[in-house]
Amino acid sequence: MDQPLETVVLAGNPNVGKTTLFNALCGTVEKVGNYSGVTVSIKKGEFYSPHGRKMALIDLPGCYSLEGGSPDQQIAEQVLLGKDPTYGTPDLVICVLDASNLERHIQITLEIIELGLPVIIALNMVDMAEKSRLRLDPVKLSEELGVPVVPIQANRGKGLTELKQAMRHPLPIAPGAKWKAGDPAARRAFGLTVSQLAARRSSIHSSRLSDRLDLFLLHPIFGWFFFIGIMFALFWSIFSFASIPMGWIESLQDFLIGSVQGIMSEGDLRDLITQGVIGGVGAVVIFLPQILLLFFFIGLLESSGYMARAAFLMDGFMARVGLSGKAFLPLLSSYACAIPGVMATRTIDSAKERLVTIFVAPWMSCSARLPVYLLLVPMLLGGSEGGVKQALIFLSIYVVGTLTAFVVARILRGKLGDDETKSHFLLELPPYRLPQWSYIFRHVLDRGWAFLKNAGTLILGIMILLWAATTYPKLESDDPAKVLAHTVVGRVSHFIEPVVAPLGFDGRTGTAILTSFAAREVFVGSMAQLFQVEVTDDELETRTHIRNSLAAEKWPDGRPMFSAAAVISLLVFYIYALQCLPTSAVVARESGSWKWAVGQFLFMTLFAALASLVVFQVAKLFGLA
Amino acid sequence: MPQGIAQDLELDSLQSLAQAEVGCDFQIRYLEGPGCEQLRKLGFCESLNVRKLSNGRNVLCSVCGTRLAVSSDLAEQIKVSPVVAA
Amino acid sequence: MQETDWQTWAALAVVLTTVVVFALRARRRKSKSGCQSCGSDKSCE
Repeated sequence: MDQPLETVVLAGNPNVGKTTLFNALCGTVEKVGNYSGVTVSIKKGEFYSPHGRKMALIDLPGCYSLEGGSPDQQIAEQVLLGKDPTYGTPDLVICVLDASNLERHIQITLEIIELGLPVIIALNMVDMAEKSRLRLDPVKLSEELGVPVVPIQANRGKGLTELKQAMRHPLPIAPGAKWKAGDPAARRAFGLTVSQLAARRSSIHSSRLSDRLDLFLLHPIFGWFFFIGIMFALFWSIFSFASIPMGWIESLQDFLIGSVQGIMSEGDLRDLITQGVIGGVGAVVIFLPQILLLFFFIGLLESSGYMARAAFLMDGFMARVGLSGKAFLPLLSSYACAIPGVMATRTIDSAKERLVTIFVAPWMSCSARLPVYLLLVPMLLGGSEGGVKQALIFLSIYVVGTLTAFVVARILRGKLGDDETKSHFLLELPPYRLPQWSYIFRHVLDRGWAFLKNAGTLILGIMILLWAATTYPKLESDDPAKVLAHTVVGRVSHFIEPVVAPLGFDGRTGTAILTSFAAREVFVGSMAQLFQVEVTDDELETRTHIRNSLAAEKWPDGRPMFSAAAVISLLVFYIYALQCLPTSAVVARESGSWKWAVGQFLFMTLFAALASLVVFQVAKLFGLA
Repeated sequence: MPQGIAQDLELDSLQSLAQAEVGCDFQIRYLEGPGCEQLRKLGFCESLNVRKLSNGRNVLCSVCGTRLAVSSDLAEQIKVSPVVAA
Repeated sequence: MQETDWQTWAALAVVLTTVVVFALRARRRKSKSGCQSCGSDKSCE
């Protein structure tokens, strides 16, 4: 006999601390970023009132006002009006306001009061307000509006008890508007008056550290240097710092293989375990340290507030391709994974700009491509690890993907035409904050665990199947080539080879590419298996071993198989190919039609194949084959 | 009517935020143009004080302690008058 | 060296189980969208 839970809704401007408050109340770890518009969908959680009653808590996307065009504002409005069937009419709304910016944040609160809902105001970031020498008067605010006002500091967990106390039964009554209802001008004037009464400033504008930092970081020239410098440092450190933990993983891998070989006699099951499971999955898991580092640095940049500045810098550049700075953040998220990036496009007002952004987002090389790049890039440099050259090549890979995306965006934008209502660039630059370490570490661990889970499930499964395909059917023979040709993989490779040869690949590489349509990381494991790499004791040696084996491979006529031309062609293929079914599913949902997702998949796959073809043939002409 | 003339003179002396001088404080007098609803919803209202921080394709300004970046054609639609710093 | 010893049977059993698991996952995933390597994005809905 389940009584429906009472519903409490968190509303307020973007970047005001709603999600931090949500986490603090429900004990969860949802994503918090220091730029406007991180929450783009509704989050639901549960918490207990001081009297032990369970209540449902809903975190809305932040909006400045309920009357707006963008999807996240519409969602918020639907939920508050009780029009969303999943949630019904809210029993209570907690309006989270930034105490330092009462004049601007109070507007949505007044709109919600006008809807006739019971409201409690959570006055957040009181510490920062005090630092700006603002004199706060929560009691006055409460009197003027007729609602309870609770000062809190969500990130420190302060004031939460008082907030929960305010939510005890009986719930506060809806106060009703104290201004002429239905008149926006009257509402605005009322808001201004109340804000000036409740938060008195000592000066018009107080200069803070953030402002001084911005003088440098938003400088048209210096700001760009800093931005590019940060990106380069990010890539360089991913290579340099990760090599030691990667060494540990490799040692573990070899130890496991050695143990299994010691315990079991020769046979198929042993091969399955050593080559298929440990070898195959290991080839992917080895990249875990680098992926963790990537997410760590992204978390650092987000949490400090730098990302909004980067969006500001990029705006001018992106305008030339018909996108605005608002598209920068979804595109940046796509460098980690296109799925949250595509969802973040909900903050873009212009529908056409949104579609274009969704379409090109997969070309921001996502983290799943990292193992492929990490395997291939050193082959261009003669096998040396680490170093400035690797970082530079990496940077170029990302730049190539990004630039092509911008060109296509420009063309697509032109075809779609102008919007009906022109939307202007408007971005809030929050103050710089010290990174919240505990949040960053938990986020990194989350991502790392998800990567491992994926490796342990999907990739493991594929490696097992691939091992079977390279082993059966068996042929009694001394010639390993004949044995391989007899297996499933052998036959598939034979079939594919004429198709992929113009791109510079042989049948086995082609097969590996096919398997990576399930998950890009699989490519590395597949290559390890298909080229019959012996897994040895030293991790660095195994990785270079895979590369050495690949580098030693030759075509029947004696030419090296993985020449510079072939490697570049392979890299180019992976930059452009869309190999992620979950991404296509999200694109279909966010764009509203399957046609966009299918069109995107076909376009990108064909583009990748063509680009690969062109690159290889041209490189051949230059004698790189 | 002296009052009318005084008002007209005042209105004429208004400039847009885009034209305003960097580093000075202003008061928002009125918003006029197609993008203004968007501005008002952000809390950019008449009678608020604003300090202009930089020029360019996007104008940087500070309103009630918050830094905002606004496109210059939007800044054209915000009419301000100078305020003598206290 | 026997042609098909216990190891071969065991390996084949593992492979068959994997195929079955994949088939079941594919059927289940038709009803809800899956988010695998993108991380623990609970806000993916």
